[in-house]
Amino acid sequence: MIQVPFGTAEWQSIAPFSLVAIGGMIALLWAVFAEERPGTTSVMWMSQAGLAAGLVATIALLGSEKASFGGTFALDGVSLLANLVFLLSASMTLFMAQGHLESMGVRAREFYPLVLFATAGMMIMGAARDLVILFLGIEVMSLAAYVLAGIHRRDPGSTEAALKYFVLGAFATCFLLYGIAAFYGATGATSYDGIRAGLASAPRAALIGGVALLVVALGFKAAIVPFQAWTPDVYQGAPTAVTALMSVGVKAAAFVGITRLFLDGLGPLHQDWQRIFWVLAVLTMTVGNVFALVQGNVKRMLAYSSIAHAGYLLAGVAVGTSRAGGAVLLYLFTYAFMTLGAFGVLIALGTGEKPNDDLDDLRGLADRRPLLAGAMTIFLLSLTGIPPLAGFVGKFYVVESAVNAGWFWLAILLVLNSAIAAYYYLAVIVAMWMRDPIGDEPAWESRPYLAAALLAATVGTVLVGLFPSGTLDFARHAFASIVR
Amino acid sequence: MTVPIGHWLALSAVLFSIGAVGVLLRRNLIVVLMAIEIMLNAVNVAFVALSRHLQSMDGQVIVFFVMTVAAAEAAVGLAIILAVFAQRRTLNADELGRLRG
Repeated sequence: MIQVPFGTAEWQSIAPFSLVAIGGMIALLWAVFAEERPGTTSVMWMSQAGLAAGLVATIALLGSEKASFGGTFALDGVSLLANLVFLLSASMTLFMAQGHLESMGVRAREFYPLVLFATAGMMIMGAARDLVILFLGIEVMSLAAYVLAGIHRRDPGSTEAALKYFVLGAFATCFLLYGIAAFYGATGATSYDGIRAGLASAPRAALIGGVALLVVALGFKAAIVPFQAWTPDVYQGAPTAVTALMSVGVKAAAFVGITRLFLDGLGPLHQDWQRIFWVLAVLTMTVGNVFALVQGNVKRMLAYSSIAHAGYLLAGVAVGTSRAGGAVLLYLFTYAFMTLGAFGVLIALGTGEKPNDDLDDLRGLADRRPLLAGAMTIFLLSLTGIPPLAGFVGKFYVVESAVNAGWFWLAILLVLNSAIAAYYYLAVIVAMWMRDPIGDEPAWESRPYLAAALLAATVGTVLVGLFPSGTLDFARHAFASIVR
Repeated sequence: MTVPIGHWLALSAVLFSIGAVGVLLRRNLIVVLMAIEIMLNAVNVAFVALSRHLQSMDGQVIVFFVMTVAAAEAAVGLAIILAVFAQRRTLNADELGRLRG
């Protein structure tokens, strides 16, 4: 029997996600049981307070390196930096959703607490050093995300997105559990330390099977080809604010989980999984980019573009050095700002009647709403990878780490893929600035919270692009102790 | 009489495959949900058998987590299926598919 101590390190390591979860519960109970039913704005601010509490705890703990619960739950640079990504994207999602959901006729106050629960799950995933804890984190996040995808209950697209997401998500969960069972049977442990210790004496077939099952399961969550089929449908059907959270928060959590699992727990097996990830990374970025080329709907195009970005991230995981781990973490940081921003602009275009997210709806946007078009241009240029914006920095360091480790072909294919991607991102910019609008100007509403979130995303995209070194050094340093 | 571990793992693999094939082939959403439950329980069989084989309690503890999550998943899944049914009046996955392609 293992005695698990419960001391300061344990309290500190669970503090950030617990505060967020408790904040979500309070906001939920308050929304349901308050004497006078609170408006959505108050519930939103209440939920922001929960996220802020998690953010304060995360910042207060920056710099600590502790293993807790017998080494199964990490409090280190990786989990803390990942927490920042999750909390910032959740907070921006809440601001963006404010007004957006009401205009569609959704008055569900539970939206805001659900985002907090999903965020708590992501934070657990970012810190998990045990397959069972990783599983619990994935489920806490996913169960909330399934409901969020279907939050627009009267819209057939939204409920269908929820259904698809749920069935495939639950299917993937079964594979994850079977993979955990394989490692448990082969090594007698589920913690990363225990697995590392048991790898040498474990039967090889069980290990290969276990790796394959985990790749399938996590591939579903991160939308990696060939497990990406659900992504465009779910991203397009869900309300845009939820899509933003799914394509940033959920994907980032999946990648932090993948990176930690494979670089740390399964590090000694790197010769096996590196080859798998090499192929999947190239496939994912190519398929994502090629399908994005032919989309006439910008939301769907961004869904395919997020698949392509999953490919770039996976390339970093395939390289597998601590430099690459740091590059992946930096990429997630940059990706969060630009993707949230791009989806935020789509939210701003939507009116109660129509989402207005086809490419034709963006024609002539620069004349009608120059600021919005300017912000969208910055996000799209950043997604393309134009210096000095954030997207360039993220991609640059992934390529740099690949070249550094001698993976020239991977680096070349990644750069070629970014060139394909430029085509469809630039098509949107051309439509906004050089084409004449079709149809009448829709009745746009002013949404101060959304505007604030877009401003924050723009500032983040520019600032991280100009001054990446602080974050990068922190991320690299964080991975230095993980990759052994 | 003890049943050897190999038999248990074979049973688990067969159950898992039945569930997986059910998810992929059956069109009724409730049946799909049941197939997912079969897969989860196949995993539980494996965990309990391995737990006994390895003489460690971890596997049995994991089963409790899996059961809890399966219950939560069934609740959310049925709610989503109900929401879909309320709009479409059908549980056939083939008749959905507004978002194909």
